[in-house]
Amino acid sequence: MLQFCQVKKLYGNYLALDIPALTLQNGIYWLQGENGSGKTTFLKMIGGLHPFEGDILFGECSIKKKRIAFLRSVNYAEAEPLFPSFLTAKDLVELYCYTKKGDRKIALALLGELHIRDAYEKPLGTYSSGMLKKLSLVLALIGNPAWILLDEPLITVDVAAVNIICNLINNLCKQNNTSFIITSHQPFETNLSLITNTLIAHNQTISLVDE
Amino acid sequence: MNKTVIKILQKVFIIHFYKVNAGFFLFCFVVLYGVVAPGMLISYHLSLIQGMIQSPSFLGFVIFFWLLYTIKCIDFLLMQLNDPRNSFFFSLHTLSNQQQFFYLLYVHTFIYLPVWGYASIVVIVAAKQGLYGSMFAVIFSNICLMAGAIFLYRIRLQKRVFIFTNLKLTTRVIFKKHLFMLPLWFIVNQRKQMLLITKIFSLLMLYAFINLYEPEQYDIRPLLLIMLMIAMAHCTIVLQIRQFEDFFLSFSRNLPISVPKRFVLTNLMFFIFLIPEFLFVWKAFPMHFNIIHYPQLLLLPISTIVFFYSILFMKDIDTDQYFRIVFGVSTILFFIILYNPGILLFIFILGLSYILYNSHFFTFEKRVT
Repeated sequence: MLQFCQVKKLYGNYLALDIPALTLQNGIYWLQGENGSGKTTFLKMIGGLHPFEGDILFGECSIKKKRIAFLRSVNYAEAEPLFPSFLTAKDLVELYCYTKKGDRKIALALLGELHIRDAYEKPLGTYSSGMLKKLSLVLALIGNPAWILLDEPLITVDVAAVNIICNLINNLCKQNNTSFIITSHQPFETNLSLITNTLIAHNQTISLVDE
Repeated sequence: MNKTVIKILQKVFIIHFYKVNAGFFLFCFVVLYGVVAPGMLISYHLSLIQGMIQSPSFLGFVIFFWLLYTIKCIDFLLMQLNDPRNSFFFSLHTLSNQQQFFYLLYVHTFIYLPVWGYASIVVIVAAKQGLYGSMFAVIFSNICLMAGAIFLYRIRLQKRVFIFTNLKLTTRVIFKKHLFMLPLWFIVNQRKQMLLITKIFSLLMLYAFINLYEPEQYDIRPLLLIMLMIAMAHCTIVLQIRQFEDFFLSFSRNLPISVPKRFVLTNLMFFIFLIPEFLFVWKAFPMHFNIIHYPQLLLLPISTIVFFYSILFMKDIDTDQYFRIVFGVSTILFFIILYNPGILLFIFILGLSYILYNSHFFTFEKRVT
């Protein structure tokens, strides 16, 4: 369960998000909203990439007080991932497996499923944007996180990969009880059978559609 | 030449070049003009110029520095041309060869202006003294450097394949790509010229000090001051590292790594960065330092550089403010070192850096411009 307590995000004097109280039970959440409505900011706050006022709790674990434990339970994949061009997928997979306590074999299998296993030892500078996107998704699945935040996971990837990614999300939710918050402008209800609820980013806040 | 094109070229290349390299120029300014008493400034530079025009080896050395500066210019411009945000510049290759040449000449002349300024004075002094060989050597070398640079820009603009276009040396450093070593990789692979210039400068400074300074009695302070200057010389690299981290390593904030561990590993990274200086300084043993003072020689540059690094996590610190702080902190340290504060000062700086780092690391956010 994720709990948001008096969460506020300001960019200078501009209030980008104000979430007085919000509780997300385990499940798959589809976060919708217009461009600039605060979807990415919301995910980045939970992922520990953006500072904010207030607190976010995973169970009893506060991101402010027990950041390391919190981040062990929350993985995040960016909409447009940026990695140093001289690194290889191998470098990143090993780094994530080490810090997130993940299994390298599972990561390699995922890379294989998404057809980027062959480029495992090639510099990321040679990757296409779709390949980088796939890699960032695999990195977000490494370890055994309770929550995975995916920012526009379906953009730039091919049609075959869309189905594979949706199946992975469904399976992880069913088998490991992993929860997801996914932003997407593309409808994917048909692929993601287990969507628990929809979140709406609107009027500088985030709310559940069915409460 | 079209006014709009000129305006865009100025904004994207010329002004940006001087902004990005503000620290480098500040540093050069301090080295060339700041270390001499104001009354001695003209005579100091005249004697430097005399040395250049009378000694072919000294002139060769100066031309080598101009070559390094040209490489810096070329690297910057090619990087800008490779930046996807500047891809609209490739529309320039539809212009005639002559027009392209003049636009590129315009850009390069302006970013090469500091060299042209100094070289012109050298030429005038050489001409007045009838040393035409040196005069022509200065003019010819600068024209060659400019022509070479423009040649490379044109190749890039026309997207032709040329073996040296990227100026990528085949450096392959063999060390594991640990998360905290990535900035080191970045500097070694993508900021080679900056690294080369910084290391040449700091090692040259050490070499000159060790060979030219003979103390009457043992005193650690002069060598500590040299180490302080070495730390200062690395401030632009520190800035580049922070920019690299903000841009490419933002994902690492999602990794469950504690702040103390991050801080210790960052210190280790800077230690590795300074290994050439830490080894070279042994040439000064035992005349300039004894073994019990070696920890001070290690801790001074590391703590100072880590302090510069930690400052960059503070809110709303821009490049100008950063260089002002670097200059201010270095000046204060200069005077404190004169009082021989011992190792405690550097432990204190390290502690202060940790406090800054710890309180700002997770609250830091890239400045929105």
